[in-house]
Amino acid sequence: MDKRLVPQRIGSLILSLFIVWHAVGITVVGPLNKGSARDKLITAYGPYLNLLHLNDEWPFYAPNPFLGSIMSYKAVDRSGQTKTYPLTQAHHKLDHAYFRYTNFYVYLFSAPNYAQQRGYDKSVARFLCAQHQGSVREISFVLQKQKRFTPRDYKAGYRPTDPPFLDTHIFGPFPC
Amino acid sequence: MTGIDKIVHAWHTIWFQDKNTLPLEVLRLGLGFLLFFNYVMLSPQDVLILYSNDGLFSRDVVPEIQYLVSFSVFGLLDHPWQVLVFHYVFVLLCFCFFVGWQTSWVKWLVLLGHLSYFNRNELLFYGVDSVMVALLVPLCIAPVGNALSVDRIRQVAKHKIAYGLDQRPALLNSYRGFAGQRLIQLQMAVIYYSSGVSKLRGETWLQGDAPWIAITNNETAFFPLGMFAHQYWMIQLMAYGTILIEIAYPFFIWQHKTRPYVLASALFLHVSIAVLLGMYYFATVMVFGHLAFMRREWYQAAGQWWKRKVSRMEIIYDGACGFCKNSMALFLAFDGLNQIQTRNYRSDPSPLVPQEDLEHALYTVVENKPPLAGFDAYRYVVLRTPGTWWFAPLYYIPIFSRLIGRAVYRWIADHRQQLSAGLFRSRKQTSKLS
Repeated sequence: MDKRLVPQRIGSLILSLFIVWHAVGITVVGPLNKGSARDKLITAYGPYLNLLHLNDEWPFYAPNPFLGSIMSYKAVDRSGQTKTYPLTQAHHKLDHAYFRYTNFYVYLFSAPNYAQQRGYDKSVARFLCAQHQGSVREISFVLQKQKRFTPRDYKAGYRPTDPPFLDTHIFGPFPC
Repeated sequence: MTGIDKIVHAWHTIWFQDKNTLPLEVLRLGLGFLLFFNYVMLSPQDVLILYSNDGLFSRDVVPEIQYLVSFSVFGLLDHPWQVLVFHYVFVLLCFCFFVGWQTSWVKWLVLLGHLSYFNRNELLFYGVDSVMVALLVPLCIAPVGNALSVDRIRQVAKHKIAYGLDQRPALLNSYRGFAGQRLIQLQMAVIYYSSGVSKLRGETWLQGDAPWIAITNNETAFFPLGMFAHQYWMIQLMAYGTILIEIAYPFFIWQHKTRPYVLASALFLHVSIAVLLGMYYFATVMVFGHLAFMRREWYQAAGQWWKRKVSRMEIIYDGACGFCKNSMALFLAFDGLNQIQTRNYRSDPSPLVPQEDLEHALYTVVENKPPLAGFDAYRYVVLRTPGTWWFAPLYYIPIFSRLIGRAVYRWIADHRQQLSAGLFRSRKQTSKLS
């Protein structure tokens, strides 16, 4: 074999091994959430896929799209008066950060136990309290989850965020 | 040919073809711009709220960011000013990746930086960010920055100065680039297939209601509902059409005949997502992902079509002036389609422009049009050369461009000998020092 070709061959071999590794990761281990092949490979692949966030089933709007949510918080001030402030609706929809904030607040309580266990709820409450610079005694999060809304409802004159189509959940209070 | 040889040959055909990196460069340009746009659009206040220790998530709720698998540079930053400095350095790196400056190492920093944002606050991220990482990884493996980039412009300009203005180094052919492109193609096929199959598990997709739920979701409701409430068949068509496109994609994208139709369908799907749900950032990232399937011949055909549409242009310059030659080499480096011919009037006089006129200005000669001088010569060319489109608007600001541009050009043309002398003096000093 021509000696000049050796580095090229070694390069091809290393790249081939990486291709096999990466291709199996993105086609089998990442997108499949269960299955014997995945179970066998996940131990080896876990760190790699987690590092690159490729451990993903890519379920865009699946298996069913989420019904929306509206998140706000109630702040009780030192005199005992309560005022509500928007969170998911605090940004204009064309603001580029809109989806970041909406995502954040919607996911915050999508799994309340997880948020509580991680301390996410307290951290956000602490931040919101700080925004009021000591004038607020406690805050509570108000999560309004949308209910299923049909074309018939629309034709009857309702809109998706009208009160009959919202389920309200309160998280807190969190002392400031 | 033995069995092993056949397997090796097939493997090489699938992954290691020695072709240019043009489709990857288009992807780099698009994803680089989108990353830059995504991060530069965050206000300093947003950055501090979303990523600093005094923001929504204090560092103690994300202890994992100090470990390698979930590492984030934000874990090392204590003060708000440090977070802002990191953010704007990263924005700059995204810009460098977009324009292709020092791409060979900048791409790795962009990947690391993007992961740092990702890991700092897991609730901020959604599908588009994972897609971005999935596309960036193969781009890091591949040798990008060799076309449609500042790196390429510098390389071409140097080559032209060294070997002559009509010379141009060939585009890089790379088997590593081809492998990177294939990995991106595979990734896009997997994303589509997985997404399509997971929809089959949802009753709202099977009943054809899912797009209605998506557009009535308060977070993504961007489009008036009235039309769809009264014409519900459009919603059902969207539901079944989406599943069909997503599941068909990995099977029909590879074939020569069906690829254009599959790509057009996917493009239509993402334009619909952008319009109906306002997810223009997600839609654009996905569209660029699909561009990994663009054939090199399609880009070449588009280039040839443009060259045919625009008449041949000839720039006549002063070859005795070093400054003119160098600036011409730099300008021509932007002409990736090789549309511009050059003529040094000192050695090759033009039959169309008198010598005494050429002493005062550079000229552009186009078939069936009077020759254009100086600023107007450049003004004509920049609009017809795709590589210079990004600075073409400067030449077309009404009144202002001509007023300032002509004066600046005249000053440079009158002082070109002094500029050349200065250029050579500084070169000599640099070479002495080195």
